[in-house]
Amino acid sequence: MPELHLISVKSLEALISACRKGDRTAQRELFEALSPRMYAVCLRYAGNADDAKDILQDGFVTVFSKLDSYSGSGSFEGWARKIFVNTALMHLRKNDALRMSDDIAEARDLSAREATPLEEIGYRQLIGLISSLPSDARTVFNMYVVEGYSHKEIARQLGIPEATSRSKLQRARVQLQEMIKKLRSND
Amino acid sequence: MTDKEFDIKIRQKVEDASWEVPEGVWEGVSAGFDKAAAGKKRILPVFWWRFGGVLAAAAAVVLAVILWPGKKGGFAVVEKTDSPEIAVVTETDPDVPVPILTDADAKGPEASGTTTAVWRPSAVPTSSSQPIMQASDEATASTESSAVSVENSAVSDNGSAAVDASAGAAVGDPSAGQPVSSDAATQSVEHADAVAEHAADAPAEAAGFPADPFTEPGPVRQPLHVALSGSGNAIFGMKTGSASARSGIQRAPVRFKAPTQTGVSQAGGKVMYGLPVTAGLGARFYVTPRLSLGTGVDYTFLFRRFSGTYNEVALSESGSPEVVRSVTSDVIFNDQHFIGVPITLYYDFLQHNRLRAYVHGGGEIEKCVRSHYRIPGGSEIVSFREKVKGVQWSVGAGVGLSVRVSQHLSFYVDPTLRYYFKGNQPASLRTVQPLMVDVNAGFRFDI
Repeated sequence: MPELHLISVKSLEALISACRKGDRTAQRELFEALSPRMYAVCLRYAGNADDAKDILQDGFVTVFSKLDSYSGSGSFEGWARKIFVNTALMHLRKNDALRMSDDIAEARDLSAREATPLEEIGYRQLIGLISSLPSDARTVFNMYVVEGYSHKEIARQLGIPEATSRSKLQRARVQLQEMIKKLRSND
Repeated sequence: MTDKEFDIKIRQKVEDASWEVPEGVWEGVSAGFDKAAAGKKRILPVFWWRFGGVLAAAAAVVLAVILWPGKKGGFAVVEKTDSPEIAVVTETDPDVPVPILTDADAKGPEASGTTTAVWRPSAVPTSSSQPIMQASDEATASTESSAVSVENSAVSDNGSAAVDASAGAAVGDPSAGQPVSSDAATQSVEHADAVAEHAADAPAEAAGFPADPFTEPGPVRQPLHVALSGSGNAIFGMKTGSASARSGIQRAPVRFKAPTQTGVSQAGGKVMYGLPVTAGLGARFYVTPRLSLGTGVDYTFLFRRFSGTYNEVALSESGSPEVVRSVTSDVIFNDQHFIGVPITLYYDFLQHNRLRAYVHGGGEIEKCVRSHYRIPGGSEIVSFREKVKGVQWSVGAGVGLSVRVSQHLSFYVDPTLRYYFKGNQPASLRTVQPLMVDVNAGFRFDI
């Protein structure tokens, strides 16, 4: 089964319709189409492969359970991605991985630094680096930079002050920058 | 490179990234999906059982009223005469229903007190899985569904119009203030006319009458009103789900602040509201032939479904509140149960043969006795009950019309415009759309 972005709209609609009716073959096909991208999302949030696998599993259970609530407006992948992000957040909360540390990162601006050689880094390496960030900073970074949440929304979702969200993001940026440079210097 | 440029580069690299899925994930998903489907089926029957319970309770009230043994006795027919006697009372066959009033100009209610049970359920289902739901971003016309309304008029004890104490009303006693003939052969009061014309002037007193030598004054039986009614709600100007998120109680996390108490917060997006369901019992007391006051007890059920987050907050070692558990769900169920006391004034502005038209207005005070949340999150379902302080005030006004279609059957329609005042109440259809139209309609049987 090709990945979701390669399936035509009509085929996807037919697939979703069959999944709603409980067609197990259709559900397997949708899983095959969606899972590679969603697993990458889970890896970014989880910090390790085992947790990412659990999040992926729970996320798909929720996707199939809530399929009736997908109205058809907007991208299906976007709708599913939101579910996986929420599932990841729940998983992290359950494991107490979202407890915000007290240290506040200095608000160092990256503008004075030399350009980061991101072009030389593959996405797999980058995902690995993001996964190795502290869980609180990693979560805020993923939600803000990749998912596009605002600090207000992140603060509401995580139950933290907006200022904490900003400081965690900055900390993640700085740490990621340093890890990328270190990786390049080791090559 | 600025922060923004850095973010853009990161996002471009990872947002569409793919990764090989480990073995065994699909098997886990398949097993988990079956388990979740089994859990989902349990939720719907609970809702239907509750709805069925309301139906059963209303049906029980109707049956109780219908089967309640009424007082037997002959009807007393009062006729005006031109003789010096004020009235002649003729006892009739108790098995033959005879209207109490023979004077065409006689006005006023059949009884000085009525007991009313009203049930106003929601509309017909809009989908197979969630029958009583409608999206907050769709305009909805008024709908009707079956309901039960019971109206039981008081039964007076005897022809001298002593009011039945069980009706709780001693208003408009026709006997008070009227000259009582000492002639034992006649009934000294024009019973029906006195009820209509003198109830406003005469305070409630139970006075006896001299015995009629030709007939014993038997109990005057008031007709028993049993009504079946259907009702529904019309919604004016639906608001979006994001607007609804600002209404009602705002639990932690409040904007820009960390949660300080356990509660559920509503995320933006679509919110599904169920139509309100109300059942009640009431009594109506006529203070004049046209003016009556009604009160009673109402029960109302409200329901909504939305996406949001449940935060459980506890005090940390330092004494500050911190979130110890947080569950985010796209489908949170909230049911709210209100007990209310309405007070309504009715004025019959038209009473003519088969037709009766009236206006009514009043208010109601309601207390939310239970607000319960069910938050399905992943493999767990969190249940949370919130304490609701304060009360819900509302005012309403409308017109009503009843038409007698046969000897024992009347049809009535009671549209009411109702406004719910803002207060510290849970978010619901009332807080999103405080101005609503209730339409009660049904049939009233005279037994």
